[in-house]
Amino acid sequence: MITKIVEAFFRHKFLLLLPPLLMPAIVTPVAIMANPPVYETSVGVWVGRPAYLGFKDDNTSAWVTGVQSQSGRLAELLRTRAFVDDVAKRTSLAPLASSAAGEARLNDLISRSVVIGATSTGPATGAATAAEHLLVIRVQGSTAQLSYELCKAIVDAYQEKTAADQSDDASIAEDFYQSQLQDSQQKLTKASQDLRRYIAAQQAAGIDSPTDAPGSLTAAMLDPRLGALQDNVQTAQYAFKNAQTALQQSQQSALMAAQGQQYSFQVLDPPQVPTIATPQTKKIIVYPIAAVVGGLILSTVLLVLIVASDRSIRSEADVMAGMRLLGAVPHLRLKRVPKNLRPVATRRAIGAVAGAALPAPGGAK
Amino acid sequence: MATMTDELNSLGMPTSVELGRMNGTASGGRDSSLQTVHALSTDAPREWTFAGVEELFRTIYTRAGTGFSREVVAVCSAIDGEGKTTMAVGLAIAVAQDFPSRRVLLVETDLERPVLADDFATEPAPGLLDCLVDDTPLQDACRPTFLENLHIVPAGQLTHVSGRPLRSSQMAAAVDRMRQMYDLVILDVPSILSNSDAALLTDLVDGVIWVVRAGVTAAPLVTRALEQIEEIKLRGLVLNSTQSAAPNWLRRLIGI
Repeated sequence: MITKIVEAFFRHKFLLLLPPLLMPAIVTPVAIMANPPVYETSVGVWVGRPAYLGFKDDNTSAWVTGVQSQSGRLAELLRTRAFVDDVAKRTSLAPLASSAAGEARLNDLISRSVVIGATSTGPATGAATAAEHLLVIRVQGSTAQLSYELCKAIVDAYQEKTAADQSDDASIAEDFYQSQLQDSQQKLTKASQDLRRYIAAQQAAGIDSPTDAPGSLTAAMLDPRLGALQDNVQTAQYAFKNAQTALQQSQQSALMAAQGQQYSFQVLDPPQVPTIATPQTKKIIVYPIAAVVGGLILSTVLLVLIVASDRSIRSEADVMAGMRLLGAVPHLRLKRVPKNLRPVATRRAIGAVAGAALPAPGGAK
Repeated sequence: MATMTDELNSLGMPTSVELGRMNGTASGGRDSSLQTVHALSTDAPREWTFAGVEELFRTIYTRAGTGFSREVVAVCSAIDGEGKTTMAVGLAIAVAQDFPSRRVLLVETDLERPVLADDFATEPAPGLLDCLVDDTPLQDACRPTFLENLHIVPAGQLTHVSGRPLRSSQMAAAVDRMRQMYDLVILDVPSILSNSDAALLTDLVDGVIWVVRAGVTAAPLVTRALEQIEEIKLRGLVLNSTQSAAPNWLRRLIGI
C-alpha cells in the first residue's frame, strides 16, 4: 500500500501539490484585503478596591483581582444594548443606534474592535506581564478618530454607569433608613403621648404621683401600667436613635463610595488619537496557515481517492492471482521524437535492439 | 520482481533511446512522416542500442516456454495500444537471433492497423489478406528481414474485402501451413475486446502471451478479456511500459 501511495503521489505530484500552494495564494490576498490596517487606541486604567473605607462590592472576593472584577463587569456591560447605545451616542456612530440594523452593526463592531485585558504590553520590553491593577482597554477602528472616540466613550460611559449605579444604591439605602427613622419617630411620639396622657389622668383622679411615695420603691414598681408606658418610650427612643445612626451611616457610605470610585478607577493613560495604522499581521497570517492545512487535507483526500480508484495494473503486485508474470518491459523515454511517432519509434527501437546482438548483414554498421 | 528499468539502472545502463540522429529515410515506408524513424532493416543505425532489452525478451520467451519446440504463439491484449506488436516484434527478433537454426515467422493479423511492412521496410502486399482472399501462395506473402531466419507476413493491402477473412477456414489452413513451414509462428492478433476475431485466432494457436500496458489497462478489463481465451493456452502476462514515478533515491530508501 505504501508503494502505491508513494507512486501515486509522485505520478500526480503537480495535481497534489496544487491545493496547498494554490489555496494560500488565493486566500492570502483576500485575507490582506479583508483585514486592512487598523487604528488602535488604548487606555490604561488603574483599578483597585477602596479597602480603607471598608467598601465591599458584591463582585469582589479574596480570589478576584480588581482588574478581573472591573474587566468582567465592563465586558458584560458591552454585551448589553443599553450600554452599547450609550457608548454609540457619545461617538460619530450615534445615528446607528436609531435602527435595529444599526444596533446589530454596532454590537458587531464593538465585539470585534474592543479588547479588554488584564495584561499589558510593556512598550520597552515588549513582554506581556500579568497585571493586578492596570486594566488596558484597546479599541481598533477603521479610522483614527473612530477608535479614539470609541475608546473614550467606553471609559466615560463605564465611569458614569458605575457612579450612577452606586448613587442608585445609596439613594435606595437612604430611602430605606429614612422610612425606618420616620417609623421609629412616630412610635416614639405615640409612646410619649401615651405616657403623658396617663400621668395627666392620674393627677386628675387625685392620685398622688407615685414618685412621691416613700422609701426606695420607684413609681414604676408601684404602678405597673406606668412602668409599661415608660418602657415603651425607652424602646421607641432606642429604635429612633438606631434609625438615625443607620441613616447617617448610609449617607456616609454613599459619600465614601462616590469618593472611593475616583480612587478605584483612575484613568492613568488617557486615550489619544492614533497617528499610524497597525497592520493586522496576526490575523492575516492565520488565513494562509489555515489554507495550507486545508490544502494538505484536500491533497491527502485526493491521494486516497486516486489510490482507491486506480484499478489499473501497474506492477507485479497488481497482477491477478494465478496469473504468471513473464516480464516487465520498461517505459522507453524517447527523446526528440514527435508524440505521434513515439509508438512506432518505440516498437522499431525495441526491434532494432532485440536484433542488435547479431551483426548487421552486408556489413552495415 | 524488479522491473527491467531497475535492473538496467542497477547496471548503470541507459533506459532512454536517443533517436535524434536518426535522419535516414525509411525505405519502402508509405508514410512520409515516419521518415525520421528508421525502419527495421539492414540500414537501421546501431546507435539505437538499448542495452538489456534483448535480455529482457530472452527472459520473456524463456518463461513462456516459447522457441524450444515447433509451435504457434499469439501475442494478445485486452484493448488497443498496449504494445502487442512491439512485444511480437521483439520476441520474434530475439528468438530468431538466439536460435539461428530455427525459422521464425511473424504474422500480422491486425488488419485495421497494419504496421509491419513499414517497420521492416517492405512492400505491404501481398500479405495475409491476399493469401486468405485471393489464394495467393503463402510463400509469396512471407518476406525476408535483416535476419535470415526471420520472415514476416504483413497484413496485406486489399481495398475490397468481403466477410471476415480471419474467421474463414482459409485462415485455419494458413496457420497450419505456417506451422509446417516454420519452427515458431508468432501471430500479432488484434485486441480481444475491440475485435472478436482475436478470440477465434487464439483457438488456432498453441499458446497466448498476454500484454498489459502498465497503468493503462484496468484489471477488470483484463479479467473480462481473459475469459474469452482458453486458460490452458495462457503462457503468462507481460507488463509493458512500466515506470516508477518515485525518484530512485526514495525507492532505494524505502525499498520499493
